[in-house]
Amino acid sequence: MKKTALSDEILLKIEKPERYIGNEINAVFKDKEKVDIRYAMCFPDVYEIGMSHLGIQILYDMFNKREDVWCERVYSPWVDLDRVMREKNIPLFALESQDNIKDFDFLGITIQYEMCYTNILQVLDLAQIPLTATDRTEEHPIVIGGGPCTYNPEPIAEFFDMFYIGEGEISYDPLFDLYKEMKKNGASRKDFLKAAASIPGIYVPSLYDAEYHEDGTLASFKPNVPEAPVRVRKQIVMDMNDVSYPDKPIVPFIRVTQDRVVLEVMRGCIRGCRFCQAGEIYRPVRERSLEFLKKKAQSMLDSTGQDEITLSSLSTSDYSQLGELVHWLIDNYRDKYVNISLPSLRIDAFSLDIMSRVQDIKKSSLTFASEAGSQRLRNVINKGITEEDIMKGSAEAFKGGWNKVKLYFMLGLPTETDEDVKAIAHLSDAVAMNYFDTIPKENRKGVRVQVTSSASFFIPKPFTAFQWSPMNSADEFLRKAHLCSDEFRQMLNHKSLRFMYHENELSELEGVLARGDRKLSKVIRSAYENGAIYDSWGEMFEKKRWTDAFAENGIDIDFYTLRERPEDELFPWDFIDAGVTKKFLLDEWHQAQAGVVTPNCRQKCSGCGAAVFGGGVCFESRK
Amino acid sequence: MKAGNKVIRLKFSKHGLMKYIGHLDVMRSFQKVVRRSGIDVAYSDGYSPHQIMSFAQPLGVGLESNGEYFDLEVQSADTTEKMMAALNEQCPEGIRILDAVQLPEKSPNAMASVNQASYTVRFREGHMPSFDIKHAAEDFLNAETVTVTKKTKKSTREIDIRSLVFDLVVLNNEDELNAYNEKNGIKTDCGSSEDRDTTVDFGAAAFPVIKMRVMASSGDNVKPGLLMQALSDRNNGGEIGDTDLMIIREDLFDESGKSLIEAGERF
Repeated sequence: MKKTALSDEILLKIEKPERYIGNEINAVFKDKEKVDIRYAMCFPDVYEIGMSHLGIQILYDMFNKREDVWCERVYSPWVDLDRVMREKNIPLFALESQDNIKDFDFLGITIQYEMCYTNILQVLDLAQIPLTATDRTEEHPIVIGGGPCTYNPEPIAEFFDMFYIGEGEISYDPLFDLYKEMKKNGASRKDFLKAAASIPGIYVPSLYDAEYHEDGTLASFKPNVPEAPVRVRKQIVMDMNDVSYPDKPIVPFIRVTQDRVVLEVMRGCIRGCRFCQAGEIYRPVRERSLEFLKKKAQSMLDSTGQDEITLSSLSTSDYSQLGELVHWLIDNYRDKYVNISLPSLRIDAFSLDIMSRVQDIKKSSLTFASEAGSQRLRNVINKGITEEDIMKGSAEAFKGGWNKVKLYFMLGLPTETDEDVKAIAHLSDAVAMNYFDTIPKENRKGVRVQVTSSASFFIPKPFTAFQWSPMNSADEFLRKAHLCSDEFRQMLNHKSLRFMYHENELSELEGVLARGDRKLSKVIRSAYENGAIYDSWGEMFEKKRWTDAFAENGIDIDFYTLRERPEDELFPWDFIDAGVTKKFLLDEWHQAQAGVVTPNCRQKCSGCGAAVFGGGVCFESRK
Repeated sequence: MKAGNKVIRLKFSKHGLMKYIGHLDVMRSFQKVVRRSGIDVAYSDGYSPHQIMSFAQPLGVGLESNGEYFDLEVQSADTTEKMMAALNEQCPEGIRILDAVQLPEKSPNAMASVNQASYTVRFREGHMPSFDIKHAAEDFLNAETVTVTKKTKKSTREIDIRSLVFDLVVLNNEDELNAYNEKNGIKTDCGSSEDRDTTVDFGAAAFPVIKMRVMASSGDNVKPGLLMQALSDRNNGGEIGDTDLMIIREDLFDESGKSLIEAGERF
């Protein structure tokens, strides 16, 4: 039998021991004596969340295709095991070999959301690796971060030896080759970091110095060695059909969040919603070919035995061959009882037709991401959906047999007035009304339409048009949520309506971290020392740990959230070249304030800067 | 059941890391094993069709087993050997299909058939009780009735556990174990050595080995821990903790005491 890092008695006393034993179908095992590089890939959250992440599956597969690398996985131990490991001084281990992470060459951490920052410290701490990068010695792994949050890595810069900016498929091979070569030659950690800084997409925080004005804003940000570039350009895949993608994804034993085969149809989004960071940093849109996707669907379903496949992207409706792909899947897998799941479809006649063929209408609900209640505010955020779209789409859906509708909104958007807030209730009511207008009483069969509206709080993110925007305070968020709630109660169809909203204090904190600078590393560390972990799990979040942490370090939350940033302010993330230019974003900020919409990438090129990558939608012929 | 379909009863073992996988996850895992193996399994009707598969009895997390069962309805089947090979090719490490038989028509399913179970129990090193287990077992078997309190999620009730125990033997050394195995026709080398591996090195706790056969019907299921606690209580032995025992389920039997695998024929 394979060994376990945890004793039988510990495994039997904690919740879900399956999280820590590995051994899943398609997990990769190698002889550790025969590899040069041992890489631990970490998602700093619990197993069920981490195992659902596509990016890790792609890189795990790609790294392990190299004979000289063994990539293994590690996730955050849940709080019950966390306690035991600290008590008994058990170091954090990788799932496959069950060996200690601290003896690996690399610890790679994917950083998908700001509220996992304290979990990153938990992982380092349990692994017995010094939290601060500059305290690490030749014996410690190189800690490397990746994922969307690295588009502003500054709040966590202190904890990482390097960040990889962009899509992992490009620069890891040169990074591994360099590491192998330098390790063989006995180079020091410092020398390796310096050399790695020259690899495209690699950012080594210790090789840059930040200086601040008296008011706390950034005065300058410069490399302190010639090897480090002034700007770090994101790395992206330009040929989506000639790139590694798993054929044999790992099959977890326990039910995970994304418990199905994931087929990524494209990257990027043509839409350009002004609040959306993903829509900017993954530009330009790049599609995979039908042939590529058919081949992968087949190999993944065969090798896993999964009974569901999902088509994944930021906006699957915009995949140009969606119809062909879905019909092929239905033709080939319907009689094998494979479910096809289609998230994030825009509701229209075409998508309703597809959905009615692959879903149980009675059970499923339709989702409209309206984001704002009024048309004025939808123009401000460049959300290209109109009330007419929603009414037409929902009417068709009601006729097709659906009677559950979900509406997504944000509170606290730039220029928002109380009237805009109330409009959320009005729009929701109109959708319910639309049901009664569309479906005659005798056809309703005693079912009541259900409209569930949920509001999150708007958080300005780097690399969006709203990176200059002030954010609402936690109190203001709550006031608006209550205002909206009250308006819902006054609606004619209020019995068919439900309204829910997100945690306001968590949102405020996320706002601080999203546009934070290096000064915040100390706050995050203090919060962790005050006991903060699993902050993204509402029930674990305790505000006091954080407010104390800000106070202990003399950092003012409002500086990061309430300020409207001047147009000429140097941002901590400006040294990253994401393709999309700051000038384009600033134009978009002006257009937003004027309420002017910008066409999507297929309608008209707006010259965002992503064409510099030489491919994708930027070079498609326009309709 | 559709005309022409067959019901296959499969016997499997669960060892090593698989003992940490709960019953529901083992079932889900087998659904995927069956899909990957390409077996011509039958699906239920309805909007969300599922494989027609029924398991005999859940095995608790932490227990290993040499005798677990599920019934699988198939539209067609090759031979026992080919089906076992196809499934074993796809089973996760620690799970091994040991046998497959076709059930006669209208046989009761595995779950309804289970009446008794046999177990091998050891005390974990450092958790050996203070009383003489062999003596306690003999004393128990000689008693007319032994009343214990059985707690379930729903209720607490008094039962006579003596009447639910069919066999109880304590083996104190290698010789006794070998003699027991020989007498009962138990082969000790079934499956590959890797699969036979347990998660714990028994070390000094290898003996005594406690062999038992107890009631395991849905109404009167005796867990090995309950019997061991009854022995302890009669001998002032104190509480036996959840993880003090290392338990292997050996086999499941019907009301007449026949192993569930004997309900059908190899094909």
